Amino acid sequence: LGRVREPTYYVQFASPEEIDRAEVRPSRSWHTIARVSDRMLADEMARLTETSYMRATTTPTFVGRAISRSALKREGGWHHAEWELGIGTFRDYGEALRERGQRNLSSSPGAPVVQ
Amino acid sequence: MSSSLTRALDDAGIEYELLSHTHTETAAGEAAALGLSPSEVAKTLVLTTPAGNLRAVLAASDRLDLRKVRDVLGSGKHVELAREEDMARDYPEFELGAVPPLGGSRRDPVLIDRRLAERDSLVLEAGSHEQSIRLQTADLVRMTSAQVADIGKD
Repeated sequence: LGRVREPTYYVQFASPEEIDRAEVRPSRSWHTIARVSDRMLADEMARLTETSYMRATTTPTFVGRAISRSALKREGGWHHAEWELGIGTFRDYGEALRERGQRNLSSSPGAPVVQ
Repeated sequence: MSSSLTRALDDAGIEYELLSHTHTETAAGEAAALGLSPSEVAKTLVLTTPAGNLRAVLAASDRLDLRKVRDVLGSGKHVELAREEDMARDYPEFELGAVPPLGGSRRDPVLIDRRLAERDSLVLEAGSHEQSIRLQTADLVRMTSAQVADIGKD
């Protein structure tokens, strides 16, 4: 029997301006903050990137998403995402959102907390 | 660093400390770069109300509860986060999304969250991703004539 591989989701955020500017390599406009195997947690973290939580500059116009590894590879952004995770620019932000996301999910199962 | 902010502090004789750090774009990163808790880093949200703009200040690790703000102001449902175009028009001195609690040409009323106000000092990222300001919370409250209230989500 083959080993069942857990799905992996990449939590990312971007500003609409970055997405608009990135005509050639749209996948480069997304900043990757975490790699997560729990889809609900990934979605909750992506939602939190769109709030002012853990941001000091707070124009709340970021967009977030949780994208599977396979979809990210198809999009051509997987290597960049792994590189960004390795550099660790948003490591602390990702960890803070992971903790908050887990708290949100455990405090209200099935009911996402709305900002 | 926003000269408008530091000039306002200098003019008022407020002591503050400039903290340089590596480039960060989030409060979590800023706190880590400075070796601080994220709860010490403050953010400012600009709100539109029937009486004009208002600056709400709370820890970056907290989230604003608009319902509580409406209760404090007694403004019904007419309190909202300011839109980007409003901020670009009203705060040309500051980078978009980086409006500090004080400074600039406007004298907006200020609401400070109770949990943040309980701290002796706080750190503001004020117009730069490489420098922060630490000042006494009491000085900020006094200088802005801020109202302290519970405005963060529980």
